[in-house]
Amino acid sequence: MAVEIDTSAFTEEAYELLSELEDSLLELEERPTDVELISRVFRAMHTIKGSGAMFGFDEVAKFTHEVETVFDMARSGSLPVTKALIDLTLAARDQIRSILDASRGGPPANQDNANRIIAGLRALAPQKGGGAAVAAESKASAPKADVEGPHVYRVRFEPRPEIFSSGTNPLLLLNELRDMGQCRVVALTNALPSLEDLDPERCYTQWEIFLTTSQGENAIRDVFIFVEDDCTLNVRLLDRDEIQEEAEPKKLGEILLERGDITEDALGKALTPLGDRLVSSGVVPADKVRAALTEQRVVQEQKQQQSKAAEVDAVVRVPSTKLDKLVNLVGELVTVQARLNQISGRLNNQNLQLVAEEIERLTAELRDNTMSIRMLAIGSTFNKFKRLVRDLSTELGKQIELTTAGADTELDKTVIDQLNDPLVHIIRNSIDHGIEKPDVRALTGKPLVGQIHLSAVHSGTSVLIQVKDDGKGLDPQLLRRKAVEKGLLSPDAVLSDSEAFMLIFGAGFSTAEKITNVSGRGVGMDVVRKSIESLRGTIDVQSALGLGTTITLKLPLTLAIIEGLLVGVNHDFFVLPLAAVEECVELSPKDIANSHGRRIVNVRGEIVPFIRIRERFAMEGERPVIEQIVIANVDGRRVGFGVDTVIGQHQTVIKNLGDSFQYSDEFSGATILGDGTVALLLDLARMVRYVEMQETKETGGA
Amino acid sequence: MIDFSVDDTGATGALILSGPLTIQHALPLKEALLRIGAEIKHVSVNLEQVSSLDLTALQLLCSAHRDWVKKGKKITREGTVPDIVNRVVREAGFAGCVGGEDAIGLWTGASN
Repeated sequence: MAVEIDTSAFTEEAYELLSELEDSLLELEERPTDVELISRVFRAMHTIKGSGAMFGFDEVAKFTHEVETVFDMARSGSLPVTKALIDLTLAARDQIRSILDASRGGPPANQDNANRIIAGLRALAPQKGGGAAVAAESKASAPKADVEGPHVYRVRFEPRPEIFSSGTNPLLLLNELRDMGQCRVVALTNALPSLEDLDPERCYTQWEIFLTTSQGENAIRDVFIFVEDDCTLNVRLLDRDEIQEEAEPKKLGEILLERGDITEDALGKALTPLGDRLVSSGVVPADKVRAALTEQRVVQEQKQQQSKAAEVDAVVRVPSTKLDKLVNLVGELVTVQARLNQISGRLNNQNLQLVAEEIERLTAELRDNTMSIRMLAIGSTFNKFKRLVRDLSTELGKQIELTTAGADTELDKTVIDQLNDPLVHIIRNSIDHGIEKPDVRALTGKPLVGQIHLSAVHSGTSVLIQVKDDGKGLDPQLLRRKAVEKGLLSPDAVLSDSEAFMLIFGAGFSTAEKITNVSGRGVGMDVVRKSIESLRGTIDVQSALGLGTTITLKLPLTLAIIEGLLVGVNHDFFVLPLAAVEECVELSPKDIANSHGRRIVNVRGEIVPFIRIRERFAMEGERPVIEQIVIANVDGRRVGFGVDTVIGQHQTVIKNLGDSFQYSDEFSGATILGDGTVALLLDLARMVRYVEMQETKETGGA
Repeated sequence: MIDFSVDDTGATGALILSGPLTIQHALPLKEALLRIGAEIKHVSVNLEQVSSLDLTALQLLCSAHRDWVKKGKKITREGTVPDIVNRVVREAGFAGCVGGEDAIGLWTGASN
């Protein structure tokens, strides 16, 4: 019977590894000699290859093996890390992604592309009659000696003083050990004579090497196979228990004692600081203490690695659909709990009230916990843009550095998922229209490398995401002129600079002289505005001509449950997002008379326009004598919303509204109240814009 | 190339090492290091132009360094330690060899 294998675990992991691979490659481009980064790239590819083969993704395994083989040469130092290698490895990463996408029903991966990448990589490899490639290949596919994970070995290598005469360079042997895993090398130089007595062609140095590797002792001994007559070699597997036991790692004195470097008496005489005392009293040379300290550190590090691995094991992967369902259920529970509260209040039964309160507390805790599960750090989204900036700046002949801050900032998964496209558009725009070419920057005295800074920070119940560039900035006059030319603005309209900046988010608006592959069609920024609004977020643009532009996106932390202000109009209910609400004022008949038919309210001397919800949605019924105006901050302006009554704060579980409703654009959802009544959640920004558009139409654009 | 000069007072010596410092150059290097005699109180070492080095050079520099420290000479570094030197020191396990006494910033891998 064929066994059906669930491959989703592999693909999920592979996507994560590919993202890690991309980040490491981009970092490696900046620090091409960083050995740890090279190893990280190699490890990511190695894991993709291994798990791919295990789960039957032979195409992934085969292709990755080819790439890994070449990258192994970089790891061993026989191939320098160049831009060409990074370019090809990035292309290979994209190719692996295409193969994975194809396995999930995406378009088939382009085999010609794969062949081109492999050919390119092979061309980079040192040509030694194919020897290097073959050697690396055999190393890459060498079986692992130990499936239980890496061991720590202590290797004592004592070459004979005459070893140089056989043409052996001991440092190359140490480097070979490095290729086998994580390696700490300590030179023991106590046999080094004074300069006068030193024969420069003799080797006086011995080594202790602490190697953390998955390979066995024989593989270590193989490194020294050609010098076995010229050296004394001692390989000892450090006791696994030493690493795994819960207790603290061995003390320095214990290690020195165990190794026979000091006697128990000598240790007893020496007090803290042990290492210094032992050295100054001449009991043990400094380098032996150094070697023992290194052993202590390596064992400690290995232990930390293992506990880290154990932490990873404690993570459970759950499909996001299950999480969405959980959030929905919690939403239902919040609604039912509100209903229970209402009923218990009405019945005035003390026992029932106690239970209702307890349920309220538990529900709140459950809600917060569930919400926190959905929170993800925005860092993974940020990392994607490094590649975008790299590729686009190269394409456009610009030099741009992307820096990020606040990658740990957490946001609801849904918000993060929907944030990618708007950020892509904003960053593309910065690269294409904002940052100037190096020659232009040089003329204006700016550094040749342009900067784009992407940051995220929590601000109350919102997250502020900022894209800041040091490019040429926005010209408010030009924006006004273009808007008038395109008929998007009446010629006599008066706009402040910040209002003019917001024109870039208008549909079909573009100041670009040329349409490029990157931007200029006036589509992208319109999409940005729509996406951010659909996330109930706002956009702010600050710009200084010649100095740069900062676009700030203000987004809610979550989309599932928000704090709202419940208001009543006639017999219906509406919810306004509480985060936007600033204050509530009364509107008396006298105020109405003073405003001479205009919908404005005087708030302590400040004139605030308002929208009467009853009129906006053509609702029936008489207005109360004293109306309530809820003043909210909409896109940086204070706007009032006229209602009959303000009921109070309400925990709003947002339900989606279908498109079939009239005015549905002006609502961002609905919520169910405790008694089962539906309340509509107002999208304040859209409502204001629609009202303004309608008024402009009515007054003929004047 | 190995260049050693002494100032007019005869108390300060400047040792400028450049190019490859490998086994082929080990003997001249030893001879140059030995020229830093008892009368020199201050040794200034410049490794900025070293293009490669091997274990023989490391051993010589390490031994000389110990002798100088023992004899109470003041040792200073001129210029930066090139990456290649730092790398070989690290790979050979000589990094951290003399701890805090590393005035030339060679054994602690302190470059630039």
